[in-house]
Amino acid sequence: MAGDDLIDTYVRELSWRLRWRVDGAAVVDELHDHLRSAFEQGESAGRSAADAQRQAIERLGSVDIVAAALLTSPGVRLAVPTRFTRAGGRAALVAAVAWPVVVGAWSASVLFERRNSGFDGAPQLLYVAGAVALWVAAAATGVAVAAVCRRQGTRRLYRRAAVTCAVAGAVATSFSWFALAWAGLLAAAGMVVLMSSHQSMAVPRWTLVAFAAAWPAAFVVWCAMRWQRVGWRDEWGGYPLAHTGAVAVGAVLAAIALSGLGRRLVHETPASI
Amino acid sequence: MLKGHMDLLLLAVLAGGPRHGYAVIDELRARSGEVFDLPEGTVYPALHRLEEERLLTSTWTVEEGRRRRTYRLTAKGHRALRVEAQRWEVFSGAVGRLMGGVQWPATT
Repeated sequence: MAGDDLIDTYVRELSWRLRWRVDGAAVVDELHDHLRSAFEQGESAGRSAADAQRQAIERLGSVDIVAAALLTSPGVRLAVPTRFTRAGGRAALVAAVAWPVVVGAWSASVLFERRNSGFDGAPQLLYVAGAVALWVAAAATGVAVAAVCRRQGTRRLYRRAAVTCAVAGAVATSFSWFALAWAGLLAAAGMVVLMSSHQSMAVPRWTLVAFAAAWPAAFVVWCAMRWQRVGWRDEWGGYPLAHTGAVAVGAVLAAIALSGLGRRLVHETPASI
Repeated sequence: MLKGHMDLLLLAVLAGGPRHGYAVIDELRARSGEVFDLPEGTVYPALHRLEEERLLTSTWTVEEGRRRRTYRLTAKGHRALRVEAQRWEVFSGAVGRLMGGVQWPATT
């Protein structure tokens, strides 16, 4: 039916114009319902299908005007790929590589220490290498969090909260042994990003879930291993295997999530609206 | 003038009960005796803004296979409507009194 084509074309065009609006899909659904209601009313008033469709569209306004109004009205949140979000994607990929390096270096450090190998400085050297990788990973993660928030069109309050937690987490990695602090702050950042992103589908949902779950999962592993007293006890009363195992779980999950986020953000062409 | 009072008009229509966007526009047109025949595309940004300001809330339902968003007034919206209505009474009363004393030029 010709009339159907008119509304479908209008809705498709509107959908394209509103693609950077966080709630664009919902707004398009709403206006689609409006057009259908107007069309039905026109038909019941005795107009032909084509005329009813044409009138419904005319009364709503041209796509140019309606899209402009819907993109510029106060409070509208846009989720646009920019050069910053692309740079954030690269940072996410750096972090995705750096997190496993942390695990590798610290695991090797623990094993060397346990075996008491010939070179006495090896465990310390590996631990420091892991700590440097940790700082790089956390700092890159902070940039990635800021980019994801920007790309998702996250509300300013949540964006500030997420970025503050991520940056504080990166700073806290200066005390690499105090994993509860930096991992807790990174977990908080992940949670805020996940909870404030229910409307936007700019990045795959699973990446946000994995990112938010990474450090809480690590904490659960740490608690379980401590409770079961897995491994040996060091001179400070800690359980190196529990610590390393927990960091491994958190780091691997974070790396998988950041890899997915990074690949999405890096491949998007910055848009100008 | 209508632009400045759009919020009041939308709140007043929704004070009568929850409505979806098309019904709001239809009601506005009908209750104003077709005087307020707005460009329909301009009403939605206003509804979204009022929701952002928490004067309205919306829910989604599925009717006849399509998603429909229904708006309703919040408690804050009811309070805002009372304030805006009082302002409007003061304003329209003042304009009425002012215009009452005007000698209108003859039109040919």
